[in-house]
Amino acid sequence: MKEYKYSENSINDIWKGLLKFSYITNIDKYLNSTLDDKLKNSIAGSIIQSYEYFNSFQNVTLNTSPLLIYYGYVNLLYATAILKTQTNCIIKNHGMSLKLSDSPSIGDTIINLFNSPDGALFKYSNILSPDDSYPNSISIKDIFSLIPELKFDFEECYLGQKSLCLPVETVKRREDTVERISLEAISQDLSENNIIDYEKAYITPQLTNKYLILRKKLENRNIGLRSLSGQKYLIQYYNQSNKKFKINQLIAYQIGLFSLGYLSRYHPEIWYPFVRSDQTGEKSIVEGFLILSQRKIPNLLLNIILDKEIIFTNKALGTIDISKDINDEYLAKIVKEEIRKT
Amino acid sequence: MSEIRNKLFDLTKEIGSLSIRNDILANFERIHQDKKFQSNIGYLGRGKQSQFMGYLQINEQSDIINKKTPIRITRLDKELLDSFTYGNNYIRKINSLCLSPLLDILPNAYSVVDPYWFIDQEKKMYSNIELQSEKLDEFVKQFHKTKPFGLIMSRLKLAPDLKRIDKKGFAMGIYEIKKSIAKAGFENCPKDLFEFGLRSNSKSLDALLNTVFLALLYLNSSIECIDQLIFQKFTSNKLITLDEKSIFNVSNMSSNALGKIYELSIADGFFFGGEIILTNFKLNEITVKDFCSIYGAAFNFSQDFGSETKVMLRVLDENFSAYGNLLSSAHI
Repeated sequence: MKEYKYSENSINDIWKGLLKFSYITNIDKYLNSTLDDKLKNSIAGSIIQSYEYFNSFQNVTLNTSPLLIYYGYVNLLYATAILKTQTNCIIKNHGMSLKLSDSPSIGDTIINLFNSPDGALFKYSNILSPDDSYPNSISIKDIFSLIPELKFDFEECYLGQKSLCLPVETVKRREDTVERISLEAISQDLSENNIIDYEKAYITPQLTNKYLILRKKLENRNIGLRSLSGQKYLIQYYNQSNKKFKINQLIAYQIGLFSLGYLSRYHPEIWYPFVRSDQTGEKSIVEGFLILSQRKIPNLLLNIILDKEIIFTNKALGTIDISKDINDEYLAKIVKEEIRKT
Repeated sequence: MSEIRNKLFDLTKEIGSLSIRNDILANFERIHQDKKFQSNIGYLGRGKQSQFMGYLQINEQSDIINKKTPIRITRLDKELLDSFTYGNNYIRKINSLCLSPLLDILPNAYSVVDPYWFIDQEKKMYSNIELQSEKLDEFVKQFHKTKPFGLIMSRLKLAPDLKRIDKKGFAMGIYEIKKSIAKAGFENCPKDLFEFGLRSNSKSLDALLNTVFLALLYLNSSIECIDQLIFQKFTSNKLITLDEKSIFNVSNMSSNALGKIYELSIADGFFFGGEIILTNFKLNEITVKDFCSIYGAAFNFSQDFGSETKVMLRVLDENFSAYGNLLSSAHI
């Protein structure tokens, strides 16, 4: 379910929604059942801590900001997990580790992913997106390729490499709506089988000289993601060693933030020179990723907690303007009126 | 599935196992793939929309066409001619068997109800063949039990003079109704037919007459669709199915006094009018599974939106008639 909310400062309003869960009374109302006081305090405390971490992000430089956002995120994940499962969520480790590369590119840093049942990665992905699957390792660059809003920065930064996000144009016509992807956005070897859940939404696509045309099935599921601008993106599977992996956005953020947080915290010998005088051009995409995290993560988790998609907008709500819609019936009326006059 | 459909599909299964059917299928594929035929007799024959008869007629007229037009028709060789002639005779034999009750109850209507009457009145291109088949007998027996025969008999009991209408009168009547249906267009039912339907249980002479004509039209449509299905069984291994994998829009699902119609959009497809297809899809959680006859198809292509074919379909009822509502309110 979608819900549009008027907002002049979306980040503030998202946190207003989340901070409601820093009050025990509101947690009680939400859960509609009795929960151990300790767990209620865990939820409230984690939300407050998360808010403070996210809030501090604006007051520090790139030297520290990845770690703050990561801590803010895991706190929020923890609170969300208890709210959704109504049980304690015991986490013993991150479920990930970092493998540094010799490459000068931060993007080439590898994150090893573990299937450890007490690891944060495994635990949260089981709660947030149980159908997903993960490779044993992934690079920071590959994580960036999964974020729709970073598509253009990604392809500019890592020349010759394509983002896994495919921007979809939606064309509303008189009788139907057509979705299409410009061929410029697609790598030559793209097949619909590489798009996550494609068969649940569309019939076989068509290729013209300009577009890949997508037609929705009669009974279809809404797949893909919407970026902050409202643009729809279809996401491709992450391919590694001929295996396809479906990686959820929230988990991609978790992996990406872990890696950047870890680098900044435990490897200042790499991180500080990168922040001070990046030679690779990746600083801009890293900053973009962090700014997006600050805006999107709280929104996505609030959506999960409230079980609806909340879209913040600064357009006036409550007025539906159809005064300029001209349908066949209205057109016929005008014509009849004109004929009557003559 | 209705009893008549079951029997019809048993019959088509049997057709699929006939050895002559394999020859016909191979020849049909040849005529549409061999460059010698495909661009002329293959294309024109199919365009006639009258099963094997279309090809046979084009073959028959080839000398005139070659002489008077820039088109060059390559005549069917003996093998093609023999197999298509058999297919034509088979279908027309079924027509005469299905309509045989009319020989007793309304003899002057018997031949004109046959859809082939309009294209080969003198039966020049037909020779009687004997068909020995249990499945065929069962199907024909079932067909004779359908509602239109009962309606015609009951109306004739009340107005026996209707039997005096001559062949020309029945032909004109059916022709005029078909013309008015065509004129009304895909979505509409001619007003007079709608009114005939409303008064189909009246005992006035004109209502009795009109109901007889409605029953004849219904029979004509059933036979037309049965002929086409049998033709497709002889010439193809697969019934075209429009399903969730191909349909992306349903712009019209409605019903009028003639029958049900669907208007669907698919990304790709090429159809001939009259072809029988199966629709099988779910819409708003309701399963729609119907045999339909293609009324028309409009193809569109642009680089911006790809190709789209809007397919207009008449839904076939349990007796395989495209006019399933025509007799729905009439009581025997």
